[in-house]
Amino acid sequence: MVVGIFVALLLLILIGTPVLLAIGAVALAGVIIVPELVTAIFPQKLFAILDSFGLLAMPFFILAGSIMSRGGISKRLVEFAETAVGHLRGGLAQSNVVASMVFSGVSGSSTADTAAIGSILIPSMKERGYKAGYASAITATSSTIGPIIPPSMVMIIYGSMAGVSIGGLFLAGLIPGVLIGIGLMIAIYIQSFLPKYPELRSTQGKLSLIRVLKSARKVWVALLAPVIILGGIISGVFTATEAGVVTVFYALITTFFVYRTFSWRDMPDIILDSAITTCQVVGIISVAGALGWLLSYLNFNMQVLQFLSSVSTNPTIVLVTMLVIMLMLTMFVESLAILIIFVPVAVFVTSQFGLDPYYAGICIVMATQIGATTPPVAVLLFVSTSIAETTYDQTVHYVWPFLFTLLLVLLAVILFPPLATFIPSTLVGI
Amino acid sequence: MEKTFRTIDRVFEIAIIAIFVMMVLVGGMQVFNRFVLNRSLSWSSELQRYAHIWMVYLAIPVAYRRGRHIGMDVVKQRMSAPVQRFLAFFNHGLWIVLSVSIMLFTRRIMQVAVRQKSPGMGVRMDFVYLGLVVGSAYLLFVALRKLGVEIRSVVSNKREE
Repeated sequence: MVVGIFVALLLLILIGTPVLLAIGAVALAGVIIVPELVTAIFPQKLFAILDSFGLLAMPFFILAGSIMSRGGISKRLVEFAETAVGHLRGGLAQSNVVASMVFSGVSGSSTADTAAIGSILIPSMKERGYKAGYASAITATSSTIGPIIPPSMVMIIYGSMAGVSIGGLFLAGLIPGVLIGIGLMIAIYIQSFLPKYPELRSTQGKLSLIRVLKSARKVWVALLAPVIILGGIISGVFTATEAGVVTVFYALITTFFVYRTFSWRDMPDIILDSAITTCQVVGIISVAGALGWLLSYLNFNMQVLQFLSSVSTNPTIVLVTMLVIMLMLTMFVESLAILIIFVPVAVFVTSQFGLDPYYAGICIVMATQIGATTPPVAVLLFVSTSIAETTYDQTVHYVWPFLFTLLLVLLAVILFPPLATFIPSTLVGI
Repeated sequence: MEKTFRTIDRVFEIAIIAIFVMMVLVGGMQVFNRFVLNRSLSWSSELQRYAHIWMVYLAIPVAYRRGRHIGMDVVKQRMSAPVQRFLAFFNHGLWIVLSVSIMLFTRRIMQVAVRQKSPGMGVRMDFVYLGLVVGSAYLLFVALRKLGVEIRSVVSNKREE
């Protein structure tokens, strides 16, 4: 039965059935086929998983991010990143990484990050002699920082489904997120010495502290947002969900009164669009609630646990095995779907092996983000390829060194758990 | 008929916007009450949670109508036109099955939920579940329209041949 569920699910997703519909239909069929189940259990599970205060952080952060993006913050962030690191070798590629890091403090989604930074930076990178495929590859891989540095949609999903503090997960992502950024910048720097990348050798201007400060003044709104969110969570003033609400008001006030870039008339569209973006993700969580319940009813979690226990009794090896399986799946299926389907079983397994939930959570989130940039099926590469107006093969050609860097950072976090657990355990004692 | 359809679409979209605005305002009130007036609200988190569920289930059909649901079309794009057409029919059919099932099965929960009250606001729980039914009814409506469009285009193609 469990095998049948997964075969049907994979088949449906591969033939282009929307993920929400595919999971919903398979879960529905399962509930109807298993004779001892009453059908009312299906909508009850659709409802139960959404009845969570933590999950409310999702619509709020999506709305806040979309208000700020429409307010033109991404363009200013790119300018800021250019003044800060544009003078380095591979300056525009470095700016791309820094812009992604700063942007991730506003947005919690890598797809939004790819689209926002890519549409501004990729054209100017191409203008200055960067290959379109290279520009597209670095844009996609650097935007995986978006869901690692808080706020993060993926961590809201993980936290609310796993019953783990979302604020704690946000804090745990700080160091790994910054490490990915630094890792990618080092990779670009090394590439600038290779004959294959002559365009990376040219540098632009000199670092001027005054110019950096001047341009920081234009983006203080975005730089301050993560401080408010994390400060509020660390000091215990508010939960992640309340931080989301506060960020919405913060975004409204700053875009209307500081930037004055759009009018109240734009608001209905922005709100409706954010609601649709929310339902794209939360809708999948809802149907996955029914599927996850069905799978655990059919003893799937125990079977996975038994399989992993037979591989090893060492928690780290079990975690790595699980991550490898998830990574392989995300190479072929939408990574968000894989994450949502596997969170319940991953939580069950990691807690059985006594792994720290924040540590395990960050590793799983990072693995699914790497999955979103690993060919053949890589959502972020699809988005950046279309912005760069190049071929998918070209993007894939340049993506490998960056993917290798992401894997190295993941490996570092796996081997040194304090990279994830240090901040939450010191600052909020979890 | 098209005009009526558009009005119905607009009504649902306005409802979604209204619910979202309410969630933000209630969320703001909750923060304000706790930190400025130092008084927690007993009902606010529950109201936001239920409003969120309503909003999501009303937005699912809107996302479907606008082709915004997350899915993979890499494999589908490489298939021949007739196969793609078949898959479109198949997916619309699947949406119809899902929406009808949610409506029917949720009705059963609601018959029991009539007697339950929510802990915070004391609202009857069947009203909360109603969001799934209303959203699914609109989902069915959208799916039937999409199916209609698909059938019409097949018929007109045949005529041209």
